[in-house]
Amino acid sequence: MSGTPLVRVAALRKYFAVKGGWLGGRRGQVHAVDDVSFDVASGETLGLVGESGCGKSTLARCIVRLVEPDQGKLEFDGEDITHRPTRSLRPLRRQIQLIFQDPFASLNPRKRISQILGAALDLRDASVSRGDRQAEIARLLERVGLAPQFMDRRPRELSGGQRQRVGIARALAVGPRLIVADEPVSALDVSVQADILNLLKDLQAELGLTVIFISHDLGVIRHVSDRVGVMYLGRLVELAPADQFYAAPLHPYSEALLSAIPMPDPDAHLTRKEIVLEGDIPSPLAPPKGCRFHTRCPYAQALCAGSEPKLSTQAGGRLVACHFPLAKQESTGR
Amino acid sequence: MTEISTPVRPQSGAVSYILRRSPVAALLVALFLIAALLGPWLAPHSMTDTNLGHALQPPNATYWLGTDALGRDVLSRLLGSAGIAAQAFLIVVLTGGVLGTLFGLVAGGIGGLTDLVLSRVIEILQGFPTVLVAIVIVALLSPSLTNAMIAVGLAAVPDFARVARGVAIQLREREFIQAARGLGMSEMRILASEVLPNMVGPLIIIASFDGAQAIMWEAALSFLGLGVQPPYPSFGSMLREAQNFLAIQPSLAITVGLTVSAIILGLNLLGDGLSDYYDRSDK
Ligand SMILES: Nc1ncnc2c1ncn2[C@@H]1O[C@H](COP(=O)(O)OP(=O)(O)OP(=O)(O)O)[C@@H](O)[C@H]1O
Ligand code: SF4
Ligand SMILES: [Mg+2]
Repeated sequence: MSGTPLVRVAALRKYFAVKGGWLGGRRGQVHAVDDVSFDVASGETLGLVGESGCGKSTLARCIVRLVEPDQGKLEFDGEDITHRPTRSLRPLRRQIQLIFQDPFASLNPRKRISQILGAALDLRDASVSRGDRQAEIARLLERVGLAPQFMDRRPRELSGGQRQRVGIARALAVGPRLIVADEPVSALDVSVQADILNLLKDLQAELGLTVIFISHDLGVIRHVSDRVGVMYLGRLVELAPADQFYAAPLHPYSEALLSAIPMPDPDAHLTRKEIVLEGDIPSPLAPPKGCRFHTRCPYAQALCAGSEPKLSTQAGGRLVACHFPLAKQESTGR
Repeated sequence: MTEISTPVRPQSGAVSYILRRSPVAALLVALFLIAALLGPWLAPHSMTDTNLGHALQPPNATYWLGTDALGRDVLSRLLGSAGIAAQAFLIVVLTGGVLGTLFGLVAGGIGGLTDLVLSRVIEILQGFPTVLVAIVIVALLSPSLTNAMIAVGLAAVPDFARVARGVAIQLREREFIQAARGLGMSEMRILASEVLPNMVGPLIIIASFDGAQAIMWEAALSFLGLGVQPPYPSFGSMLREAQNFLAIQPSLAITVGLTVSAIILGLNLLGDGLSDYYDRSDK
């Protein structure tokens, strides 16, 4: 993993104006993504985690440019695409594909699977003959573990897992280099989640894809990620290689999230204290001053309410945004 | 978290839903279609040939629904009128449907300034007494069914436009539209191939209501002598002729009146049934 990163996100910001009141005036701004920076190397899988509403989907949509960022910079393969207009974005879209959370909403209910995949294939190369097209659709289906008979079905005749496979096949159809998967298994039965995760992992290895994998579930992230990024209220608060992160998180919020995932080892709870976060997530309309996490942080001190910690490099090259990062040796003892 | 992994039971189609839920609508509309399409072949007698010797007969073995004041077979003339009514339906639904859908699709699908401008145009069109103005023009220039019905069709444009715009707005942020955009599909292609197929249902509902209106307008205009010209039959002209003989042969007016009412009722029931169907299947 060297050379230019495939994706570079620098100080990216996206606010949404919220209209309210009966005059329809502006009530405020949702700080959905606020000053987020990270790189993703080619072939890497970056896991992004955070509670509902912390801006994961907005970040995903910025990266695939379904949403235009307000500020900051977004580079793909060295090219600045932050504000690239839709028209000239089109050729690039084939290289960057989004996989959606809700596989029911992401497939057009009035189309057959063959039409859905065929339209995607046409966007890559419209000159292919009908027969070749059918063969290609069958190959795509096979690649995501579906029999060719699925071609003639409609989305509503498929299970959630099958639909998500079609969603993945559609993304693959245009030959992407980067896949942004926005909670691709959250809407699925637990029993099929692992199948889809394994499929994504296999495809990633087989095709050399770069993946940004978003989830609110650190258990799921662990399965797939090389590195883990943690988001809180629009901010990236920690970024670390996965093994180090799971062994010893540096941010108190990461620690709380990690303590909530079920451990495979039944005795683990003896050595590990579950940290229950007090209070609700503050409104993204008015994030707390100082450290955004201070209203819920068990380690908060006076400094935290007054000054916001910047994402900074710690020993070992890990990044964390906290005035009092958890020391490695302490993280299990506290 | 929603539980959506179990396969959803395939829904029954619109046709079988209507057959089950509103058999009356299905029957009336089917009869209307048969009469309109096959009328000339089904008619037992000529629609226009007069035979004064057989005038104003009550229903009998030769003339199942009797004859009119000029001795023409009422059943045959009703079949011919159904064909005219169907023409009125088609012209109105095509004029209103094509223009209205195009307006609404573009307004709702593109949004922004385009939507603002088109929405105003639609509103103005709606407030404007299009039909009345058109009738005056048609009456002055040349009474013809086609012209009159194009005018009625223009009046139906806002209905179709409103529905198409509503659906397009609703779909614009849906994930499968975003997916199409993310694949690099052009906005126009998205409208035509992703959005349009999803508004067919609601548009058919409007078509059945506005089509019923069209049949009413056609009858009214022909009643006033502004639509179909004699000797050709239409529901309106038959009613006008029957009016003169209400005292002598009331069954004449009643037969014609019932027939038009049945067709309009059938189309309205069909519209209601389809609304129910799409309300359910959208859930
Ligand atoms: N188009 C929009 N207009 C206004 N506010 C929005 C819009 N999209 C997202 N938001 C707001 O931005 C914030 C971040 O939303 P986002 O969907 O990115 O979060 P998320 O982390 O993906 O959450 P979830 O886990 O629920 O999917 C939320 O408060 C949301 O309400
Ligand atoms: S800066 Fe303070 S409040 Fe914020 S996470 Fe660190 S310790 Fe907690
Ligand atoms: Mg989300």
